[in-house]
Amino acid sequence: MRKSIRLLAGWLLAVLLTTSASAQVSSIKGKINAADGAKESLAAVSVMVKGTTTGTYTDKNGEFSLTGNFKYPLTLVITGVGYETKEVNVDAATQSLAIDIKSSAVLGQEIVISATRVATRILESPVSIERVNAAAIQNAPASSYYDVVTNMKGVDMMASSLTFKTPTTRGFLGSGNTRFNQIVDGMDNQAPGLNFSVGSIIGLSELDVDNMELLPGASSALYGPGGMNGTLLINSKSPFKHQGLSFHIKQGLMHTDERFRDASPYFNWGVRWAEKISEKLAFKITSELVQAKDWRAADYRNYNRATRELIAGDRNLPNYDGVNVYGDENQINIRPIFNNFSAIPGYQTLVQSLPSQMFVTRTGYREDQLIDPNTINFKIGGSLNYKITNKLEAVLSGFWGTGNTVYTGSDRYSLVNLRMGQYKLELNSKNWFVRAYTTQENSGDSYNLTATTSLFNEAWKPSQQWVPEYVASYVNNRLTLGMNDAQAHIAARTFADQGRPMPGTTQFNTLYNFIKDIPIGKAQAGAPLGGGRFLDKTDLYAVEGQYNLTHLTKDFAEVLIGGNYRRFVLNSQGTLFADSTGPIGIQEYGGYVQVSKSLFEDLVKITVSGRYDKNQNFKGRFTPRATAVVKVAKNNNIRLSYQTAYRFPSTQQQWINLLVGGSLQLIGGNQGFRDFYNLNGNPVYEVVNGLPTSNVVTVTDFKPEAVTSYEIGYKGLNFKDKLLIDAYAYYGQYQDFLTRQVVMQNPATTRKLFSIPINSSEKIKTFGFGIGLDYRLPYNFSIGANLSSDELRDVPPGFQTFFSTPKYRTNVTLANSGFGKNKRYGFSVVYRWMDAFLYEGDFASFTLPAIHTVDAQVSYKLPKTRSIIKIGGNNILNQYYIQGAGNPAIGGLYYVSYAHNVF
Amino acid sequence: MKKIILKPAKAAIILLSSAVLFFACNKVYEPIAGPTPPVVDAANTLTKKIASNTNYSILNAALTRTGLNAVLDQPNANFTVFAPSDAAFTASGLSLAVVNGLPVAQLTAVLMHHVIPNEQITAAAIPTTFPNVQKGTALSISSINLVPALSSTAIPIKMTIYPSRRAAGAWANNIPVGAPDAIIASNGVAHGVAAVIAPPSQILVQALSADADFTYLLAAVAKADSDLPANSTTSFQYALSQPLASLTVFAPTNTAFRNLLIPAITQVLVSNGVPPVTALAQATSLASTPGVFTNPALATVLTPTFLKGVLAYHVMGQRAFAPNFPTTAANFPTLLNGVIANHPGLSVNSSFTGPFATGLNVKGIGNLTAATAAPTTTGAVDRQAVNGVFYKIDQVLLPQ
Repeated sequence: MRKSIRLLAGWLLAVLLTTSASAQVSSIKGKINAADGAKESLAAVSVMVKGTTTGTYTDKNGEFSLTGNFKYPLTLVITGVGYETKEVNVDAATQSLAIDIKSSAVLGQEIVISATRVATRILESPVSIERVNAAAIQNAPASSYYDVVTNMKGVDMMASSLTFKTPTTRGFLGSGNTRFNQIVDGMDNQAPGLNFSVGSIIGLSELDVDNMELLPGASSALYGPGGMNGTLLINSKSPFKHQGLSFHIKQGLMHTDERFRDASPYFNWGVRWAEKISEKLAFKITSELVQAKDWRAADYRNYNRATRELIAGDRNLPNYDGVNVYGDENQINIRPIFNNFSAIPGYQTLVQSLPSQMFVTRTGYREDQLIDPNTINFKIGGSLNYKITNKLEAVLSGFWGTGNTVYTGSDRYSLVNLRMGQYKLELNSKNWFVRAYTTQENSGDSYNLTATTSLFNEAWKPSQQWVPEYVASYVNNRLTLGMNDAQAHIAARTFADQGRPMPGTTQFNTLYNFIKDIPIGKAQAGAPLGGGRFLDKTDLYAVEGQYNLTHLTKDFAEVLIGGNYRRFVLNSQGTLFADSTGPIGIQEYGGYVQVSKSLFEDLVKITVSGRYDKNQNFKGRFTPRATAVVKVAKNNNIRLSYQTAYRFPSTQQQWINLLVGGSLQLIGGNQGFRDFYNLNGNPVYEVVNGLPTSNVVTVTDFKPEAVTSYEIGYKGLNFKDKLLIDAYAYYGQYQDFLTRQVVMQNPATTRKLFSIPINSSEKIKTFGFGIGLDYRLPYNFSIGANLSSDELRDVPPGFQTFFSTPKYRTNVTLANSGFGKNKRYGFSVVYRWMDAFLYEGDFASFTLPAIHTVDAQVSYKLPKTRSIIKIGGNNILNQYYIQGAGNPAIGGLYYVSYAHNVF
Repeated sequence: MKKIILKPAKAAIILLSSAVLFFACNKVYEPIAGPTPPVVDAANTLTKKIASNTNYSILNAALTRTGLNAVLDQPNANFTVFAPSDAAFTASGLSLAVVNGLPVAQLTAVLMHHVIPNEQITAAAIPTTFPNVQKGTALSISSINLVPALSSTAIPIKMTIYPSRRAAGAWANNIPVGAPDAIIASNGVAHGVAAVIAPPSQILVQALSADADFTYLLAAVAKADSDLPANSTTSFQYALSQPLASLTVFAPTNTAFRNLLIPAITQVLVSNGVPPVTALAQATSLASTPGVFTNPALATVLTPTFLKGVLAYHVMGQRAFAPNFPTTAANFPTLLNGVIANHPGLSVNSSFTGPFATGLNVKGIGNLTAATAAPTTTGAVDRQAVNGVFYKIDQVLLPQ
């Protein structure tokens, strides 16, 4: 005992002595400036002592300070985004090192992480990847950073509203795209209950975005189930690197032609404050507020839900069902009521002349009569970073957002006081990380427009009363007033609608607010069928970690292992899921391993990875991936990959239980639904064009969906490194493709319609290609163009895939990052085109016309304050377009912005 | 130097913006083309054509006064109008002054009874066969008390009209159509009629009860129904009071019943040993009131079954106006054929004064002579009710 204490003391002493013996504590201080232009000082530039883990970043004045036991001479490695890396030799401690670095005109030098989860030069990435950094976001004409994603090749964006934007790659456009992962600072960004990615609502504030990396194509092998079609990773700025107070003020103007609503302002204010308290501790606080009169969905065309197509006609048709008109979805067949008249003299001729079915819908209300989408979006976030050692950093971070917006999912929803939070604790080491996070969802006062308005109609005048009034009036109009069929219907509606609450009146508002605040399916006095509000408080808890074993295995290969665990807690009190008896838990876990090896003197790099996942409701799945990068010349690489990806059915596909469109019950695929609705005992029949056939559909267990994809790509610099070419082509095959089928139970009596999730036995194939060119012209001009294509083949007729993607799309960008005096001016223009395509959604399906848009901006830098003034616009020609059936028409947004301390 | 290098960039801008301007014409919410709406001819509606026709000035005045001119002016609608000419109005005692003096509601009802909405029936489209086609007019009466089963939806009773055509001409009910297809308008056709077609206001049972000549008939009906529960749908009373029915009733007068009953009862008494003179006096006394049908002494003779058979022979299941019967007697089935399918029915013929049917004879198989229908004050023999037409005849018709 005593001996051991003595031993320990001796060791401690030895350590201390050793330390003091070589402890030549000295400091190096300096300033980094741009070598050209206005020679402004550069912030957030990395200064590392070569061969060590010691390093720092320049502060907002471009100054840095390193303190340590340095052995001189040493070399400092200076790296700044958009600048050439420079090495500076330092012979002794100095307080006034002045370093100029040259801006880099060379393309393809970025380092990407997400392709292999290890830092790799983008040119050498084994899979297709796109990256944008903060500087590119600053120079983009888009009014929000999410829009910048659209400029990458192969990307489609669905804008359900001003703030609700969902990107996707390789198909399946929709605001609730469950085949595309969005990962923000390592956290899966999908709302666990509502199944849409909330990045644009509660994600990072624009000022805090460091970079975005996009992996088009299957990426489950590294990012877990879900990333079948792609993964978008958004990373925030470290408070150690980007310090000080930044803010932006963006003032805009929308609806300038007053086509859909009055011209109105757009406000976007953001602030970020980061402070390095010591070399070990730093924090940041970010916040952003967006407020505007949102785009308006005003598609009043007539939609046939049975055949899923737009048809001619307006409210003068008895069974009109407008796309953005609510309460008119339920097709009521009034023909049987006429049989009451058939025996009565004077009526027979009329009754006999009527068709065998006469469908009538209740009078609906237009979207603009129901909601005034005054979008407000408030985000707040922050992090506390603590460097436990030089190599180990702990991060505690959180994002919280709230907002009002509208979105189209299985129905059209008005999101009111939606609140969402993500909180994370992470430990980052050089070789490993472990993080735990949770997503907390609260749907607030959000409600379903269709359900609310239908129930509003029933609360005002039940259909049991409205329909007989309508029929009696119709008969009278035909047989007393001599009207023809069409006139009689119009007059009958006027009669039955007598006293109908007019939008904007107290009567209307009182009743509407009453119904929308009552939860779905919860009957109460005055609302026997419940209301339209959903109460979703679903949460996700996740833990994941990764270890890079390369330092142990470098003689053999680079090896990476990782794993994750997730638990969903579905909690909608029966308003969205079948959870009226209590929350439903779903657990899943998985692990992955990746081995990379360079062969033939680094000419070929082979990476093999594999991942195993298990969800408590499904059998485990193994997904392998193999990639190869072949260096054909310097800065010219060919990549080949074989990837598999799959996804467990989403929480909604497993457990949803929701009445949509007035009559269709969306249900999950869980065994419980089959038993509860007795789908096999009391058989359900296939439905074609809204009518049941005699084919009985047997409901079976459903399985995760998988895709196997093969891809070849090329990325390389040509023409004296001025032209970056990136091209890919892929082929994929889906297995057990998850879709929905509409079936009918009791076709003779209740005609109950269900939409059940099914796996298609068809081998649906997908293929596509993309090519992008970036050319650096002299004087900081650059021109870029890309074209991409995605296609789904072997889709059986009548099969709903929800692919919803144009066959071709293209972007052309012309930009200058610095011209004029001291290169203070910059501009960019982006032209974007996407082909017409069939949009398929639960809410509505029809072909959307081709879209052309032009975004442009001109900026002026104020180097002293690192500020930038920008005048720009999205869709500057104000050519309205829609990106999804039921979605608003998006027009031009023009803005002026001032951003402080942003570069 | 700078200028030269900027040129490609400028060219690119110009190229880009011209391409943009060329293509950038997005479509949003493009309307879906539907069938082209039919061409509407608003200049030649019935209202406008009637107004411009000098033969129909009283009708025009009446339509204007009631506002029905707006209804007949709807260009997309369909109507068949039986249009009384000025002469017809006058013949029916309705001069312009009288028309202008009538209460609007009453005038509206009368006019609506001349209009078949929803159909354009040209003269050629009116069938020449019996039974007649039944058409609902624009006029309806409340049904709420008459049809309890339908009271929740309050379906009004349509007043019906019966266009008919024979070699000699065409009629609407019993009114001759003097000028078939007189007006062909964009929204209908109007036939000139020789008189105003007054709408009935009573159902058969009410109309029969209103005439003191039918107390025996109604007593016979009550006796015939006496073995059935009250309001039975198979009873005669139900049929006569059912507003939705459409019947033809040959209604014998009290005298006709007495003329049948006195000899018949006398014969029964004589066969029971009563001296003929006494028997005649007793029979006359017994038959002197409608109570004869409920007299216990005759209970075995005037049984409900017997009376059912006799009464069924007086009722046709369709509405037959006098002009619908031929001038040469022909046989028509009665309700009795519902029980005895091959019964020859009644032999009926009408006689005409010009286009008007002014006489009707009907003969049962068991009658020696044909019964004659008594004319009404207007000279016609058919008497109208909501649910049928009846003839006042001077003999009880005998089925055997």
